[in-house]
Amino acid sequence: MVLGLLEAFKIIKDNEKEAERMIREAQTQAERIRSEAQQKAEMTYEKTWKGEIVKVEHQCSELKEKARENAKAEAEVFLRQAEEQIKEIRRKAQKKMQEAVDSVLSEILPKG
Amino acid sequence: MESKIQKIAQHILDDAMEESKSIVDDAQRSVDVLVEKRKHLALQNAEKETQARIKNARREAEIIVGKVTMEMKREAHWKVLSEKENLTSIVFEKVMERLLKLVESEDYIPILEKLVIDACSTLGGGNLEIIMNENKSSRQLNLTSLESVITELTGVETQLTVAKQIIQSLGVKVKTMDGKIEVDNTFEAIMKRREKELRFKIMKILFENS
Repeated sequence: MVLGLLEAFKIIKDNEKEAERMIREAQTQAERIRSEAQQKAEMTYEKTWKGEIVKVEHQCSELKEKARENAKAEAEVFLRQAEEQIKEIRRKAQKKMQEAVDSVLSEILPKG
Repeated sequence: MESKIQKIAQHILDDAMEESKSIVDDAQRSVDVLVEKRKHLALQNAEKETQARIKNARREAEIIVGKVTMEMKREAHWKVLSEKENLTSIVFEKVMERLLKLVESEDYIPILEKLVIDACSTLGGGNLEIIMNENKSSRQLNLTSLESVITELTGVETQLTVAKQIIQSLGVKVKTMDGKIEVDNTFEAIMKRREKELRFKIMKILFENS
């Protein structure tokens, strides 16, 4: 009878030890999972951040390039207008060229 | 009895197994939560950075547009000015062409005489030397008549000599016999002296209302 009880206690004690081991192992595994999670979280942060920054950099480049292209197109229009203005100046000036020559001559030739 | 003990022992192991599973499951769930939180934070921070970078890019774009606009205005302005300058120079060239024709005509002699009288009067009369271009009008000057006019104008007895020296310019140079004082009445010199005023006048005629 006593032997039987001792045997029973031993079985229970052994199983308790096994249970403790199982829980310790689970805790260790949980620690490892959490530690790996930190790394995974940091990697996710970096990847997400970089992904967004790449997008915005592309967006910014496009914005500046578009501004540059628009400004150049506008400049070309403006310069074409200037060319037209120059043609008009030349056309009007040609008509008054003789008057200008006469005016200079009247200024430099002695009077009277 | 043995069976009861077996059950208790097995229960202990079952409980431990369940608790272990729960511990691991909790850890596993916390991984997803943590990763999701960091992702959310990254998106939040990136959004702030995005706004700042876009604001900067817009400012830079404005600067680019301003710079291009300014350069284009400057270039257009320069082209217009350059054309006006070119047309003004053409007027001066045409004036010189007209003067060259004038020199060959008889109308030039009275003009040359007036240039001589003006230069000599400026020098106050006296013994003066006239330097001219080698053309036929220059040789037709009536020096005696000119001397009388200058003497009368200045009140100083005047004697004129035509120098052996020849100039290429049209018009006349007069200098005192000692060569110390000279009045340059060549057309080139006259135009140079009055260049600003003449340019202004030409531009006013050619480009007013342009």
